[in-house]
Amino acid sequence: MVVLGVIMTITYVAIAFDWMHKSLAALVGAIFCVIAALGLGVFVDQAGHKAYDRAVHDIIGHDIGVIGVIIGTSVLVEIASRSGLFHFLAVKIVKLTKGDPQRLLLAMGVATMLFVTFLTIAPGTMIVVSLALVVTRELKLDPKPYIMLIAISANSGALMTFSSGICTLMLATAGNLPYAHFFLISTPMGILSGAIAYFYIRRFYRASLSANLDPVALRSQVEKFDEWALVKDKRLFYRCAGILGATIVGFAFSQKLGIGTDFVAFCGGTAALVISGIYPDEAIKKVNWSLILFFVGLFIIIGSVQESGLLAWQAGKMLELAGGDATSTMMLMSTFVLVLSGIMDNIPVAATLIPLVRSMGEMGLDPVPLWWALVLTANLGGNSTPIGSVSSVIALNGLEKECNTKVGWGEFLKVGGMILVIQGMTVLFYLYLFSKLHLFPGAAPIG
Amino acid sequence: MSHTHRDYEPFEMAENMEEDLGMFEAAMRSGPVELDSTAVGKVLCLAGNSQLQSTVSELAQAVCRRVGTQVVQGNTEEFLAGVPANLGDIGLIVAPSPLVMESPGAKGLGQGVDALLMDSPVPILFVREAMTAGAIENALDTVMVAISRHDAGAEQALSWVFRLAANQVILLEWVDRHAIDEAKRLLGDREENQSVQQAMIGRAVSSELGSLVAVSQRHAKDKGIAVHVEFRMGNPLAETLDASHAFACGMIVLARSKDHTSAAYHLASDLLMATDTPVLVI
Repeated sequence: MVVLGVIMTITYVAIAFDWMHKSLAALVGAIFCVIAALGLGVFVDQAGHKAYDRAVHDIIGHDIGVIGVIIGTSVLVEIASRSGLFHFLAVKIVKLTKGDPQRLLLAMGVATMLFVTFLTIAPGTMIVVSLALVVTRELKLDPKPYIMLIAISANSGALMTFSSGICTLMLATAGNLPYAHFFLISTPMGILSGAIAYFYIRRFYRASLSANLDPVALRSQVEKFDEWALVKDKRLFYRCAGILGATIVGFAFSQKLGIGTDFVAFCGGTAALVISGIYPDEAIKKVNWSLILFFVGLFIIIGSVQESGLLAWQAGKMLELAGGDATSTMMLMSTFVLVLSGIMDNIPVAATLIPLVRSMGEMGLDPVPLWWALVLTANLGGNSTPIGSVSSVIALNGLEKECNTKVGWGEFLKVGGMILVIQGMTVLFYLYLFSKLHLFPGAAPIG
Repeated sequence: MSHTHRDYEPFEMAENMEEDLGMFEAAMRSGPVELDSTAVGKVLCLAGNSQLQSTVSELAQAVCRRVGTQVVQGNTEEFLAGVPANLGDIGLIVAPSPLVMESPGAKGLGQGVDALLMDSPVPILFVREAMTAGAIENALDTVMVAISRHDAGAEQALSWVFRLAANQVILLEWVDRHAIDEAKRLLGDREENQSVQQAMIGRAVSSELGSLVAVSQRHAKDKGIAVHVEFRMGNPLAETLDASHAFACGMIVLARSKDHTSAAYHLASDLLMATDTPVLVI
């Protein structure tokens, strides 16, 4: 238990402090975990024989759904992006602002949440960050407020639906959370947290946003933007939009139909390949294989640690600390996740807590509120630091590379950190209210 | 420069971001482009006594039906002697371009075709191989235009494409990879991720040709036809041929260059030797 716990901790530290590429860290950690688990007799069958197959293959097989969704949606999103119409929509949104810096800020926030909702966090963020960098350069505006809002509001976008973020998807799959319930619990919090981010950033950067700029010149420049320059293939987009829509509907009904979300994603990706006529290798090579290997390594590490009983022990300790009360446990776990997700990637944090929540469920606690708490806090927790979420890394990297402008930890903490404090208090209160008023759908009834 | 893991975070970001940046730069910097939609003059058919006589005549008729003009028969011998500087109300020449033996073992375009390429004041539609009636009928179904820069020639080429295409336009943006590699070899190359370099070049091309993409999509919308934009980097001839086959193009359109050293000139002459698809050189 201790040995595996130490290996897992070292791996997470390596990931958090960037000692090496995170996929490599996860794979190396996984190898050491398996060696240790076999050596220490953690992976044994009922007869007491070493059982690598049963343990490791079972671990990966249990979580293969998430990997399947990543592959399927990556292909679908890549093909849909090639048609250029998400970019078209983005420029259309910008033109509605008529070049007004404050309206442009709102537009960027809305565009971010919209695109992340349908394209997931990395591709969605990338499109809007690129848009912001180019637009602000053309209009001679300070890019920082826009980039910061995109970085932070993307995490709110990840709350909007079942499949809007990898972390959300992973938790929703593990917790078997119905798609429709997202609109009752997660989507409102997504909108609310996005609004908090917008208003805070608008205030923090008000000097940049109300600089002495000629509104007529800005308006005239924005009117010259030609969104049709972005459209590579209109027929392809409409077909991809249809498939994307069908895939989202498939996700919504997958549980009722008794099929996995990975199957739905594979169908969507395959359909996109068939109708696009694009050479399959071109789209397939854009699948985030590095992320997939990261997940494989991570699942093996966590699965090994879980087999050792460490996570169940930790679940028990957490319950003890919370006095065995469901609401207190949820609040304690939520606070822990909000803090930890800022320091390290929220995916390993969420992945580690999945077996913890399951263990708590086995101990008699209703896991439904805990799953929702994890969904909300694991995503929003990444807002506090520049490394807390993939959207921040994409946004700040782009800003530095294209504009030679760095946002240091100090500035990010003043913005993101404060936003997280406000969002954190809001989400904790929100969860508390839901718990006390028994508003979580699907939660165990009282008594 | 040694790569650190930071250079790869977050997972293949750099290449994807270059593509997105290029697309938005294309939109922001797109200037107004007006395609020439004036009526085309008469179509001069130089069928002569070649084996392609019937194909040349029928294709000329098909083009006339499409653009709403009429065919006149030309004197091939006269053109072999020298291309007249003033062709009156002729707007397009349709001529055969079979390979000829210029010297033992070496096939070439032939003097007549060379002269047309260099001296014709109007666009020339070269017919390379005999075509069936069905193939002639479908020649204008999907038309591809290969462009490497935004200049007057590219706009003219695009204008012709929209006069002719009945169903789909393929806008092929091409970049000569070998020229880039040679320049890098001579100037010294920084150790950098190859796929990022390709994405950076794609970004620059997107940015330059954005106006042409925009005007193409608008025209396509008005005419009820489809436009597909394809970016290729590599050997221009190989990529053009490959794209032409991939999209089952019935005709290829190129902007002409009178500069013998230019990539565009070489593409036109190489393509006329390599393809069996009719080639319209503007």
